Amino acid sequence: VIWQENSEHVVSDLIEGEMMLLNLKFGHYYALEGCAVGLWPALKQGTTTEQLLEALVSRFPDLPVQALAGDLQDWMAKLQEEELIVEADGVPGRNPEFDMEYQPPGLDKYTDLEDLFLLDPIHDADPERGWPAQ
Amino acid sequence: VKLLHVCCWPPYPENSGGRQRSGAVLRFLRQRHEVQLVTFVSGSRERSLAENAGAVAVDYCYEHYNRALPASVNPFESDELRKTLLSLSDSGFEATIFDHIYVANNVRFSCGVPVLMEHNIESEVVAEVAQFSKQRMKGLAAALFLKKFENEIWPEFPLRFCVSERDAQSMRARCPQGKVVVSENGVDLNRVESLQFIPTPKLFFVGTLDYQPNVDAVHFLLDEILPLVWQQMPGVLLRVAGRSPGRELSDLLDGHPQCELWPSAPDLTDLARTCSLSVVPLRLGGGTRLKILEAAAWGLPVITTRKGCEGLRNELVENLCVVDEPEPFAANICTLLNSPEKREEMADAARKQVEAYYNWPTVLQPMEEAMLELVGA
Repeated sequence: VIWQENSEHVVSDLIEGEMMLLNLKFGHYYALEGCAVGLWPALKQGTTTEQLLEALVSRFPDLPVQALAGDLQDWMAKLQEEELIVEADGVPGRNPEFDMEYQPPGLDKYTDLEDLFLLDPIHDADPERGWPAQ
Repeated sequence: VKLLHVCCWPPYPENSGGRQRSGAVLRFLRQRHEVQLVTFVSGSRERSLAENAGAVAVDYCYEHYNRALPASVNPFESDELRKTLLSLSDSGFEATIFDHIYVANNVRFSCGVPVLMEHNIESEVVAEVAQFSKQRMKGLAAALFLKKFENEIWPEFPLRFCVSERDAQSMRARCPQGKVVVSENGVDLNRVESLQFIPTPKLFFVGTLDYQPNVDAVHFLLDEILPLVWQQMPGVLLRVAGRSPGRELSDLLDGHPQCELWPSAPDLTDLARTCSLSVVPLRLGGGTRLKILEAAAWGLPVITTRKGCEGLRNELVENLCVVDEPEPFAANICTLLNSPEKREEMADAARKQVEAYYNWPTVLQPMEEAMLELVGA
């Protein structure tokens, strides 16, 4: 199965060193942890679980394959559960390439996106009149 | 040619960097072209200033909120503006300048070819501010939300202006469609004169005080830099000039014996004249800083950070004092306050660079040329 970012509802990008994802359907946002930062660009293009595992095994030959596969499956399951990835047609993209120490791929979830819609971090809005009224 | 200029706020009075740029663009283009200003206003005073200057004034819109758009874009989702633009659609305008990303979502109501004038890359500023925020991840998510909006709206504009090559490179990398032209910030050297100073141990900081990069800079001065200065020179005074300070900042500055707050100074020149140094300790922000160009034009020496002088030409930066850390920043303040000769030397050299490169008619020339090319004039 080829998995791909659920681009209908999900936006993702590397911002100030953090790989951030927004799910605009559910109003949640996420930060990727560990090796997930290196794996995600391949998922954005479309890739298979097998390709991702192959990349992990190739990058971390000293680690047990079963452990890598288990961490990867857990992470992929969370991505599916949160509808951050969907099955896609076509041909899988290139294998991910990354240069980092091994830490299991992770997904930190934040559920206060409702506030985010109203958040303007750079303007100090008057609480009664709103920005940019004076 | 006949142009429409849609502004987020009126350039009357020009009491912020953004308003100065908008005002300079309007004045410059009106020398040779017919330009109609349509501007958002806040309150009756701004409305009358704008309307007396021949502008069409519209109010900010707070009645409905579109969650598909960033918070800072929402006040400009105005039916009144759209009706105005529709009513002008057959008036022969060849291009509409959308002045700032905040008004860009009105692009489909453009009269003639839409042109976007950016003052900075806003999502990058939001991401930087998030780094200093207690709610870092939420701030980064807000930056991503704004970045998504920029990525979607930029391709709608066949011509986009940035204020620095750095911003232009970022925009071109993210949006290869359309043309990106650098039109730097500047100073009107006919209006900003080289001052005769009455030097006192006063430091000058100017900036819009509801804007987080400026708020952070004032806190950086008060919390980390000036205590070191006051150990050496207890008589040094900080003069802060800028509109819209929040209550917390007002209380902090008003209650401080070695600080002055000028929230609505009619003329910054009079305030600058009795200062000895311009301090610009910015750690956040984008675009380029008009406050540095203005200080240099006055002949006021500038101490700033690498972030503060980001995007400015090396020829000018070489004649500023650039330090990031509080200790050397404070040490340089003391050194320069004690050395009138060094101050004069720095100030003269910086003023010469501003005269050479940053006079508004010079920096806005590429903007006019690109627009004329766009409309085939």
